[in-house]
Amino acid sequence: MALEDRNDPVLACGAPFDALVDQVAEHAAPVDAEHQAGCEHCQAALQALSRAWGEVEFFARQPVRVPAGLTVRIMTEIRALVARWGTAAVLIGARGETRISESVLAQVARRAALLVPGVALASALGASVDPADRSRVRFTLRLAIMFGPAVDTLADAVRAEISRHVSAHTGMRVSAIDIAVEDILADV
Amino acid sequence: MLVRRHQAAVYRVALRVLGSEADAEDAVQDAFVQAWRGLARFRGDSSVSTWLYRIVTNRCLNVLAARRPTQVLDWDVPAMDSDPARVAEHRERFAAVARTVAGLPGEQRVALVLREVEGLSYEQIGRVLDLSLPAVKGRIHRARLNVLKEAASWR
Repeated sequence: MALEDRNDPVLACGAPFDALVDQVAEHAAPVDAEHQAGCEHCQAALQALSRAWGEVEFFARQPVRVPAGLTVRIMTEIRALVARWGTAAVLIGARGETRISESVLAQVARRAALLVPGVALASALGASVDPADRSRVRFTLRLAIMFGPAVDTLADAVRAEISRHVSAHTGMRVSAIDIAVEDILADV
Repeated sequence: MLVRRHQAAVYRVALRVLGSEADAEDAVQDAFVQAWRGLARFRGDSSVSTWLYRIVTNRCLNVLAARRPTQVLDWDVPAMDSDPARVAEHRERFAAVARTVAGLPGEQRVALVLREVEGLSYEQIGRVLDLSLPAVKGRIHRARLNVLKEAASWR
């Protein structure tokens, strides 16, 4: 039976050709097993289909060798992207984009905190740029303060100073500043 | 790790759909870079492999759309045998079907590869290609009929 010039949707016996194709390709049970077993038209079609489909399965099961170095190639590309995009803040201007790394933002915050009277030591644990809006940043700070001023007043002063400096130096907006006061010093 | 765990399947699909090692490598690299950039958009409503299959098949369809139809393809068949005559026969059989598959419209090619090479279920293919179950079945059936039409040229 020639598969290439089949225009008829049914065999001479009336069996639908489409069903035979799916039966062979899916290794499924026949829709009408009793008819098929005794029908020469069905048997001839099944034989031709099985032979041809066997070649498709031969093609499909050939193993594929992943080229050596593909992983390295992919990872190199991704690392380059991470380095370019990963943790930078992005300010989009009319004449280009400005990227500021999180570590630079953290240093600005630390220096600003140290300008507030009553702050003895400051360490910026991190600056995290909002992934949804890369012009917004959140800081986490650890402070050692002098004995004397009220802690919450001091913390608010630190927040105000950091916001002012970060926005003046970098154009970023500060979404929040989390402060942990970890030590209190009598003298520096 | 994402790349190491999934690259073999992603590369296999790209190679069988595109039929060219160089194009497949490029498509796989693009797919993973796209996956990395879009990681936030992976919402966990499908499996990681479904998501990667989706990205790479879209990538492949773009490549096919941009490709001139007469492009010559290279068929790499790993030699599984030490007998050169059998290796040659092997390659011949493989290339005959491969040429036929390469002649299918891109969408049928993608569906056929996901079904026959990757062994995905119709439901999984529907999720990868964003198609209803009847649409998947129809596409794969048409691909099978088109492939079988060429069977006489294989021998």
